Amino acid sequence: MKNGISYMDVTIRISGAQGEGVESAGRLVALSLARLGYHVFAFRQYASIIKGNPAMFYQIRASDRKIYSHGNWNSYDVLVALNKNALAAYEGRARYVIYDAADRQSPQRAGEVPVPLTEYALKAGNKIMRNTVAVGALMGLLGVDLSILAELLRREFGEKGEKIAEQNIQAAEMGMRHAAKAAGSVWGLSRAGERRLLMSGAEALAVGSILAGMRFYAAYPMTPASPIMHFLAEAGPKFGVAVVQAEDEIAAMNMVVGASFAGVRAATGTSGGGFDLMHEGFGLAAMIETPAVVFLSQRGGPSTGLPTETEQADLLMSLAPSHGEYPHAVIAPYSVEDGLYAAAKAFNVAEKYQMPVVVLTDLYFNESLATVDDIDWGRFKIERGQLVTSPVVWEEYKRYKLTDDGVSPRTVPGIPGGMHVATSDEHDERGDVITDRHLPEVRRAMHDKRMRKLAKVAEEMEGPASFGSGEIALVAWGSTAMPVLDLLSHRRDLGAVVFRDLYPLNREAAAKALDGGRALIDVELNREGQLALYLKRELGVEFKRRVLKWWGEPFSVDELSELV
Amino acid sequence: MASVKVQVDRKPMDFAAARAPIWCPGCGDYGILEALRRALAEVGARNEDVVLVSGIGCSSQLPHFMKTYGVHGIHGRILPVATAIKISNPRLTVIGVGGDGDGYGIGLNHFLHAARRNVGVVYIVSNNQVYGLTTGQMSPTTLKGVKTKTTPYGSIDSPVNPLALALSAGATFVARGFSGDVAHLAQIVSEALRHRGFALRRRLEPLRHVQPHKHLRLVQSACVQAGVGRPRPRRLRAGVQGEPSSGPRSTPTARYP
Repeated sequence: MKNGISYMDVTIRISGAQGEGVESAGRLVALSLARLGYHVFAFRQYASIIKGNPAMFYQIRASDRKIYSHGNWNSYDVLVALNKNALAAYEGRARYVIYDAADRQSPQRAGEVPVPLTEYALKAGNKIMRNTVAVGALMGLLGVDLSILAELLRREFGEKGEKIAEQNIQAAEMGMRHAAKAAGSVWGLSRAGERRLLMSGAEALAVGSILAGMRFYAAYPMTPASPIMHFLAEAGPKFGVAVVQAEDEIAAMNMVVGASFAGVRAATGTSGGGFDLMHEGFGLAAMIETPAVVFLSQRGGPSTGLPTETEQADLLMSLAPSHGEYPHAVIAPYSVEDGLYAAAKAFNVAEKYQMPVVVLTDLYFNESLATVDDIDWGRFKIERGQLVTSPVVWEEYKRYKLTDDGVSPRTVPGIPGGMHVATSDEHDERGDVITDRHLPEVRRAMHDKRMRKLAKVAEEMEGPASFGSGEIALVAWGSTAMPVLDLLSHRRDLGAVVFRDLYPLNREAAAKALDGGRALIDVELNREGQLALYLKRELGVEFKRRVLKWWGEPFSVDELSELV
Repeated sequence: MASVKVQVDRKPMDFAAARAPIWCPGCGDYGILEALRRALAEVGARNEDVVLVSGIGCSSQLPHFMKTYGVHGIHGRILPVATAIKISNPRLTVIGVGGDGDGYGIGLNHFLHAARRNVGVVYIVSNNQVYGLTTGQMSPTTLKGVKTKTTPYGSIDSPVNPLALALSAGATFVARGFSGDVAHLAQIVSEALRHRGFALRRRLEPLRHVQPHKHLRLVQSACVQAGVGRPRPRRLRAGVQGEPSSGPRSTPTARYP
């Protein structure tokens, strides 16, 4: 119940040790609710360890209206605690608590739903199914029909054999009956509509890339970018995408340059540390004017930093990653759904302007699951720019011809007459090295030519999106927009300006969005307020306040509401 | 091999760019350039279907003197670029050219993984056992005891053994030639270009690796080091010429001015 209008909005936290099945339980719940037709958002908090970390959690929120984030940190409807640590850590914030009856002799307050998780799991066949019993109990409390869960369990465990699937269904059923009997079907969730598509931010980037015609992806494993490669490794071959696990990020970046030079849309994905290694290759792409897309998925830095926790501290790096001056673009999707479009746009910008493009996300974006609806298929247009596909006269062809907008006709190997050398050294219009001589006028002309592209790209960059009409405007970029947008739904005094196409900046649109006498509050997941620094530099914008956080967790709605 | 279409009358000079090479007189790279042109003519390659990929160093200038497609990329990253080009368009003939510093120093990691991946790329390494373009520092193949700018008292490190590394990593065609013997080198390169036809290894194609031994360059670099500026090939000790570039054996003492 919010603002007097009755919305269904339920938040569930499943917590336990890493290796206890929190991950699969969380996915199962999120999928079940999406299948029932609810809008779902699920966020996983975990540590850099395979087994251990006593109280990792999956927080799943479902609603019958559009939601953008995991909701609140300090109050949720149900806690599912798979062990004593999780119970102790979070029970105070939940209305209902499902826990193993073996962990506590008798309930201490109303809302506790002890379920003999271990006992039922053993009865079903294996202690490992404790999490399935717990999910069953949760579904009982929510009033969700067993059939939805059963279908998902069959799909999940089908590969391991029918017996395992049936055992899991039995385990879920025992949990469900127990909870329904002990607490009743509190929510009584029924079908809210057509089943919804659930995907992670990383999957949205991967799907968007395939829709954009990407045919080559090379990467080195690094959290939180790896899920992009995981998805593509499985789905890619069905769409003609070659996926290479490179020996390091240096190789991955250079492979992207190679594939792209050969005429194929190509991308790589990594986090800050890996991107550090890619800088030289990134500059190469800019110098030889070859398209390249890099999915830069931020996590806590510097160095190895917080490998499994989120941060937005690489904005300034993404604005100038490699040495020297060169053109590139930075796009930061602000919702999982927007990830689809941002990826597609990145490939078009990269190819039309023959330069590298960064798609800037973070762990919160990449790993969160969200329902995606109303996909606008018209936004997936493939624009290849000045790609030459018919023979040219070699004696006349200038790969780096000086043009007004800085973009020159690009041939790819196999096109007769289009032979040229793409060289990392400064070169002339033909692509010949000039560094064995002193030719300042050529250097100047070529450098100007490359930089001229930026003006044209800026025209293609969308201005920030404005939401709400409150007197105070929260200014955010990337995934921080998600809790901000949810906050706006019950704080009418606030507005928001969300930056997505970050660089080159559409200055006119940006200045307009920030103008109007509203008090501006910068909201970011870093310590220095990087967006505020950037906007001050570009537009001279002054912020009234900065609401910043740099300790590895995203903002929540209740937290933001208190802070602003 | 689809990319190397047999055409009669392909001549080495059909692959020559308008620009003349800029290497020092007497440099072994001339021999490699000529051998490569002859080999491409020999296999009847079409200019537009050939991609030369190089890194940074004297030998990596080579693509600029060829009328083919080329990527003159960054130092040490020849093979990732070449591998991706071949994967993206398997009809192309993709040849990597670079030096020992590029391939066995900064790029050694990629060398092993490219061999292991077994994608059909020909990789020609000009090994002169020294960094030439940066004016004469020790390279990964510099023999023990050799004095360079960075080893003024003689190198104390054992050199890498590139051919043994290539074999152990799974390369399926490994050969060595001498840039002073262009005819033989051209023969090796054309065999490497044709190698795919021999190796019927399902869809994957073998990596071919040719390593011309460039003693002439060695001398040239020594001259750069000494500031003399022209090659003096006769100064070489007879016993060193033609010997493998690496491996555990007795150390030649400094013999350069």
